Amino acid sequence: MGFSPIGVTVLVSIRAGEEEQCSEVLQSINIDTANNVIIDFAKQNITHFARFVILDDFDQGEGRKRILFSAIFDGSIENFFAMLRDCTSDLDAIWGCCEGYTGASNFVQFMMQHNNKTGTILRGHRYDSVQNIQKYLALRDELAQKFDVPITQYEQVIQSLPRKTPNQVRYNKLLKWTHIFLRNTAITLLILPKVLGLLRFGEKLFQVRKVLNQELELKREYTDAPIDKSPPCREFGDGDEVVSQKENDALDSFLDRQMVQNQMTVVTVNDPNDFKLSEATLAYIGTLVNLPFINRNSMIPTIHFGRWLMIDNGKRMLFLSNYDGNWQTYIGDFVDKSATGLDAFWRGSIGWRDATTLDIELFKEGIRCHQIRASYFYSAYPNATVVNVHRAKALYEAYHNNIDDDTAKEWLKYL
Amino acid sequence: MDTVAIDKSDVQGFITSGYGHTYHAAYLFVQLSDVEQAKSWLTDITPQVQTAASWRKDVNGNKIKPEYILNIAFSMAGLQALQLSEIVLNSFPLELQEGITEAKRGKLLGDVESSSPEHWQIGGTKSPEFHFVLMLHAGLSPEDETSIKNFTERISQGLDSHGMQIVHLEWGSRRRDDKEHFGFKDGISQPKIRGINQYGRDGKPIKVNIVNAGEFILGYKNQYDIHPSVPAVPIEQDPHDILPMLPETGALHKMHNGDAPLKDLGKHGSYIVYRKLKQDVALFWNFLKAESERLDGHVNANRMVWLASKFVGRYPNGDPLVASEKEGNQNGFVFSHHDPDGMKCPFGSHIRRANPRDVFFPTDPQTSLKTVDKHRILRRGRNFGETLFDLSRLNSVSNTEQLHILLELGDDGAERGIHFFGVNASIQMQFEFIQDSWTNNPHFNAQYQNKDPLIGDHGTSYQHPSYMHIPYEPVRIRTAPLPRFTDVLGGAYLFMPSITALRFLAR
Repeated sequence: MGFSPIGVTVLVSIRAGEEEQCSEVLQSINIDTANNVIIDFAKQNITHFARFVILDDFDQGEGRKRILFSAIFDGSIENFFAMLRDCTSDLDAIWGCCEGYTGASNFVQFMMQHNNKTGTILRGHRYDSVQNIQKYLALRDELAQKFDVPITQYEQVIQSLPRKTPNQVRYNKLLKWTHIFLRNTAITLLILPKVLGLLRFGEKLFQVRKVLNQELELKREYTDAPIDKSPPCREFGDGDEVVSQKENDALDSFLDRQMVQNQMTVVTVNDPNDFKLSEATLAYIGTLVNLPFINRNSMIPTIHFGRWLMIDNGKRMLFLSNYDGNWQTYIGDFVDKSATGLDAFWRGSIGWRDATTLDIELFKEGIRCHQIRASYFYSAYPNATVVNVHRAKALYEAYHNNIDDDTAKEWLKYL
Repeated sequence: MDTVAIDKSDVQGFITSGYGHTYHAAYLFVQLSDVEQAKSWLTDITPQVQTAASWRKDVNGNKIKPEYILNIAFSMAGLQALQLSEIVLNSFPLELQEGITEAKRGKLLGDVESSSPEHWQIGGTKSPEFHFVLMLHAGLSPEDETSIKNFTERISQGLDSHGMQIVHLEWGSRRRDDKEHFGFKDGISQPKIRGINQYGRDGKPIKVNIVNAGEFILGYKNQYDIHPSVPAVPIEQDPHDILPMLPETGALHKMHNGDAPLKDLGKHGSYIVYRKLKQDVALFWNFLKAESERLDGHVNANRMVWLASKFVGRYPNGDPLVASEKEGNQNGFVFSHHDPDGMKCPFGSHIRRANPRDVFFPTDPQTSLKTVDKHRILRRGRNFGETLFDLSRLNSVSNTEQLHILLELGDDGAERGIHFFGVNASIQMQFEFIQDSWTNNPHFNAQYQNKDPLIGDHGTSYQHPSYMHIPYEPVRIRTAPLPRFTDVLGGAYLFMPSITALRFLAR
């Protein structure tokens, strides 16, 4: 749409026998840059997040694997893939092991062909480009340093900040609100066909509404989480990518705290009987959360971007997210803040029990056992949480549009 | 939910009481060699284990306080040594199976670099393995050190005669004023257990700060309103029929066990986290001295105490920075009414991280409390080591002259700190969660690069620096990057069984 960051999800089969080599290449991206593949995402700086994951490829046969490449970026999909082509030092090293890849000249087409349509996207940063977010954060750090002075000098620093006259402030505010109004109107108009398109789900839409309106109820008193913690998880269906609890607990993505942010990739198998409803749910929530004026899209304050999509002709569902903090907090937030909404997404997965999201142990087990480790993960602003970005943005806007003697102290609280 | 009846005589007293009437403690880390002898000792000792049952009253109606108190908790190695079967061991939570020293837990808990388990004195990767810990409490006054010594001696002899070896012995004590080594009153805020702590000191039923029993005692509903999973024993492995049955609910309970019913090994038990925390008192006050100079242009002892109080969230005497609802009650406060923006008690302060109460960004007060109550912990701590300075000097903050002692503190090289014991029904959801998501999370509660100033894992080589931010007019005060004031010298994840489970383990 041009206003918000969007996502791509490319799935391509790895040629039989080349799985291991491909996995090694992915895991060494941007490490020891003299000898390995470099992807310089920062060069054009339109990428918020990107990841490579190796998934099982059951449909191709036992032991087969595939690459999942997912990214969130600013601008058009074609432009993004062209950028990816240009900023990758050795395109063939990564994609050469994939079926259907014919070289750099056809790369954009190749990727477009294997891209999967997003069902629902939740955005923590709705209308902000990578470059804007980085600008906000840089100003925040700059101002923080300015105020590292003895207490008696605080007033002096405040006085030294650029000022606007009351008239300028008024004018800037008017300009800002006009811009927001026009942008939101434009987005609403663009979304309208999608809203109308929901009608194709017919009565399923009423069912979705019903599910979302009813508060989820836990009808059991004891958790359904398995008592035995060590063997592999139970499989949810044919072609289910289960990993054992122990194995997945050891993932960096689960516990590593080197970064403020984390990421999650979850693959589940859809129950064919419930598929229509699941698809309607994704489309319904996906459309509504992006309606401006109505929806603020901030139900879970730790999500930078979260996406659900159907893959493999509806056989499986993929959940991809970039979030803040650790796995435990993230899942806990889900349960505390939107158990009903979350349950709606997964209730159509095989093996997913009633009100799983309210049975925290079982929910964790379900996610944990379907979570696949990423081989490579990129973030354009790795040291900032969603809330940090929001506050830095408020600070930035105030600093540039709004500082007069009355408001200076008001916005400094964001520091 | 309000009518939980808990069989207190089956619960170890350590879970429900801090034994505040005793001033001395000994922690015996024991290794067993012969299982039969160990079991025979366990059979003898079980009746002596202090339970949570109400203390009896004398003829005048006064409670008879126990004078020699013994409790016991097992490490995973201990449960293995007692020859529990593989299926039973696998039913314990993963964090217990893997242990506190598991490599990936280093970053999660902040046990890295100077606090890494390879340097630990107890429970570390290079310290001797132990199978269980005995927590002994005795001594009804700070001066009475003889009682705990004699008690420890008596217990040691019993262990010795059953072929067991104390691989590590730690002494702990508490002060009359309950101060920890930095000089602040500690252990004030503790959650109350539903069904156990029914009535307050005023005799009225407790309604606030009360948490479902299942957060601390296995076999009960937790704050998610569900019974969490428990360690279990296949029925044929309890031939003497000691353990209670596990209710036959939940399809997954029998998942890996055919259709045979299971027995509940966890009921009335709990999990204990042990941490030996070393406090660098000289570093702490000297950092504040430098900060005072940087902020004011000269060193000022009052500013140092002011800063320290902002770090802690309380004054040295334990009074909260936020006014209490009731005079004299140091724990009777919330943040939403009196301090929503942290102007009094900073968001980064120790107490506002360990228990954010009703202001937990971005939710409303009620939701905040609901979330926070899912991650509480009972703390049972004792100090170790001599104090570096006369802590009572901090009692009157207005007496500036008394505070001058803070200006001349030097490191004497002695070890001092806290034996921290946390009681929780899920180490992962409670202790580890608090440690990772709250204490060591630089972005906790909408903050930016601010970990717990007192116990955070500051100054690691792989993370951004952490600063203390103190909301202030006209703009917040940000300290210099914080050094690590508290290091870890030891630790363990333990299972504290019920009396019934102890009898089972002894057979």
